[in-house]
Amino acid sequence: MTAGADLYLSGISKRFASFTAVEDLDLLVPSGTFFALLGPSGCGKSTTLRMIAGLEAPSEGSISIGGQDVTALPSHRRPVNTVFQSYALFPHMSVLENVAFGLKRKKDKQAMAKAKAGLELVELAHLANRKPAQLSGGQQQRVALARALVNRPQVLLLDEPLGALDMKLRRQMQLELKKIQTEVGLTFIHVTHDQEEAMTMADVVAVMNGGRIEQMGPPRELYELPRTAFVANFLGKSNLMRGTVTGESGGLLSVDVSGRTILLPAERAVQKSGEVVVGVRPEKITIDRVAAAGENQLTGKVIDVSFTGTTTEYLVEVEQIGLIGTFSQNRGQQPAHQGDTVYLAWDAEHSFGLAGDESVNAGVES
Amino acid sequence: MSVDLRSKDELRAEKRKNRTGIYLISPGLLVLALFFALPVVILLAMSLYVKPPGAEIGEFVPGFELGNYATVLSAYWPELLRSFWFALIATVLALLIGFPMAYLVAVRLRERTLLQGILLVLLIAPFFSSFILRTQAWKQILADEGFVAQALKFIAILPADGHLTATPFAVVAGLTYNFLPFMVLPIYANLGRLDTRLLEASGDLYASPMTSFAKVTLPMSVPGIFAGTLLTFIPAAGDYVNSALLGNNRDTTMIGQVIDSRFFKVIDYPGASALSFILMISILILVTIYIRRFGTEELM
Amino acid sequence: MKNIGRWLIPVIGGAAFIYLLVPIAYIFVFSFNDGGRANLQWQGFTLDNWLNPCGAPAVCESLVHSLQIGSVATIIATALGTGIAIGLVRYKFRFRKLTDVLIILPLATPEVVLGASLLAQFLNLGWELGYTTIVIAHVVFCMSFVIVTVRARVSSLDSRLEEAAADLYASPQAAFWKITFPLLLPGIVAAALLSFAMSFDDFIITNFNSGSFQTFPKFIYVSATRGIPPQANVIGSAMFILALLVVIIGQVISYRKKKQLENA
Repeated sequence: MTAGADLYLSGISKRFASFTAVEDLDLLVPSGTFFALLGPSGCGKSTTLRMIAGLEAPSEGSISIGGQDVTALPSHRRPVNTVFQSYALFPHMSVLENVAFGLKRKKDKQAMAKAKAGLELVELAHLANRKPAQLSGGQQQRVALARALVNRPQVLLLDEPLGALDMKLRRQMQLELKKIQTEVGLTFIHVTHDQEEAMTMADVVAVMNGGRIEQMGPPRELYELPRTAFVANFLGKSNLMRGTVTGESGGLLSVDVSGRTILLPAERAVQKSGEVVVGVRPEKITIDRVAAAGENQLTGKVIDVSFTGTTTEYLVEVEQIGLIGTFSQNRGQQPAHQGDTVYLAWDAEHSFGLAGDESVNAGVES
Repeated sequence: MSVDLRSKDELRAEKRKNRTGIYLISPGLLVLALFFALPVVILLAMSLYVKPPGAEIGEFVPGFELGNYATVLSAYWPELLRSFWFALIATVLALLIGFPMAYLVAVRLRERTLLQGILLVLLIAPFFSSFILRTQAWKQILADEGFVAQALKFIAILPADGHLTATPFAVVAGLTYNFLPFMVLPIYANLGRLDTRLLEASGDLYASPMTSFAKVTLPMSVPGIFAGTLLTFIPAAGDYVNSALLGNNRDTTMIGQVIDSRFFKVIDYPGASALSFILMISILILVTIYIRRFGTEELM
Repeated sequence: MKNIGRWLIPVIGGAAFIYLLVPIAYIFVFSFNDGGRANLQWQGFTLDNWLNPCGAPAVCESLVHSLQIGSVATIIATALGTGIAIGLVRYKFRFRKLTDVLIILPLATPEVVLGASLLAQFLNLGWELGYTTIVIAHVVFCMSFVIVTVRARVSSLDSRLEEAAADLYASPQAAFWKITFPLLLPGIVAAALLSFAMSFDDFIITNFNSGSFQTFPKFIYVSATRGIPPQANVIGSAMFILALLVVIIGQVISYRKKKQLENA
């Protein structure tokens, strides 16, 4: 079992005749990391993956794997394998032959034995002689995974591999993929538009937008401290408000938002003066019919109530600020009703600050 | 956009520009250029040759005698028109007979693959028994002494001294028969992709089977019908085996026969070439009008 | 009213299929005729014709010629045509429009014109009409059929499969022979069969370019006036039955293979 390798992208750009897919990308993925590239359609994540695989040549920049510059190497000479979204299983070969394909090209004498073991790893050894067309979607996906894994590549690329599976199977495969990755110690690069999936599986998440990486880091860090409006809205939900910094004391910034004062720690702010955007995650806000404790307080009228079972989501109209959303964990309490006046409160340490030129709607799913 | 769902821009930009493409295409293209394009040019040239005074039969010199065209056109325009007329009737008949055949195999029998397979084979296998043999067989089947003629005389559809063979009727029947598979196969290929759930949806929206057919099936089978009519009409217009075997020499002669006889019996190369060229151009014109009026760009 | 529509199709369709087979049946029946050379009137049942299919002179000779020409022309047309089909779909180059026109024109040209133009060319070049000229003529008109058939197959081939092959260490050549070619093969085989059928059954173009060289269709045409020997019926029926058998056997084999896989 060989461990994975470092992947290093330096100054990578990809320009097509009519648009630029990737702009000046720098990326270092340490070996053995489960890395997720997250972003909406058209953000350039797939193009980046294709460039790593060698299926696409970068317009500029270099790629190196395990210290070796592979930029000029064609796909079939790179120590990289891909699990394609469409699986791309060879229809005229059996499942076993599919899995053994890469090994055979490398003239591996043990190809068939290793292929069999690979199928056992994904629990499909009993279907070894079937043709891909006779398998279900979930089974095909596992064959595609086995076919890539069995070559023990230094970097394994996964392109939205769970997209076509139903919820239950997806969850199952997410756990299995993570387990295999930790066991075998490969570097996984996972491309997806599903932020829950990225956060569940990855050690490091990079959020991509318009050909650039907006923010990169462990999932929790990205979630709790987004640095751009896009990340704040794309990863989970955020309440964003515009205001002006009025002062700083004791490490806390005061921001005037339409007459109310909102506090946030200076170290959680991208911009510390002038016009800024202040944000807070909905689940950090408490909602009650009486005023509650909390450094930041707002009051408003309930516009919408959504009971989802585990939580109740409220949309509260706060005068001159706009709509604030909160999640209230269902502990059996009586929810507020539409039209009620309620009090919102949260701790300063949960606020985050973004640059003033950000659009509060960036990254919101339309 | 996923790794393997690429935008049209990317696909176009990334189509490999390397030399392999040229190597693959050149040999075949060369053959087509040398033995199809060039001959047509030579045909055109030859249609303008002149027979010098006092020359022997078959001797011509390169010239520019446009009069050749006038000569053959004035002599043979009835045959030319008749060829198109026969081909048109045969095409329409082939469509009327062939469409139900194609529909039966492609739609109705979609579940019964065995029966479907058998019928398909029956459609194609006759190609392997010579079509001249089959046309000749029709001649004998429709002969005066044969069962069919006798039966028709018996029920007085045919007059007592009438015959089936050596008539325009026989020629058109022969044309229809011989080119039927060319009509059926494209329609079959097209109908094979018809999604029957569309018909279900149509029924769900209160359409009767007749209406569903007219409003859903028929419009969707247009590409197949289009290809089939072209593949039938074009060869039929130039055919002469049917008219030679099943016709007489008075009112069934088709242009193909004329060209053949002027090449090989009368040895009038320029005249024959001119006729061939006229035939080709008129078909090209007709086909172009047809395509413009009805058709799709992608025939293939 | 609804019911009429239901059986209208099967009735007309079925009748049409029977109509298609009437001459074949006639040919088959008369292949057993003890009618001497003319074979016009039924004179008695005999197996002689089947037992001695080369009994009439020139029948077998012309048949062998047709088979030879068909094989050679098919091989050449299929090879050249497949190259063009793959090149057109997968590669980018200039003169694409021109190529498309050059390919589809033969299909839009009546056989009379194809035959005549080639004849004009051979006459002007002073070439002797015979085996070679026939093969050339057949290659030309079969190529278009091959291109159309294979091209459809190539277009429907998922190019992502070749990317997957490259991703799995296959060089471009390996990817072609291991992935592309096997997947194209059914289309290529279909094109070859179509080409052979077209070539074998061709009369008009052959007639213009063969001089005195006999092919099977030519022989039948020429003897149509004098009387087609029953041996020709034997050949015609035999070819038909052979074609039927080949396809049926092919279907059975693939059906059984499918069943095998399902139980694997």
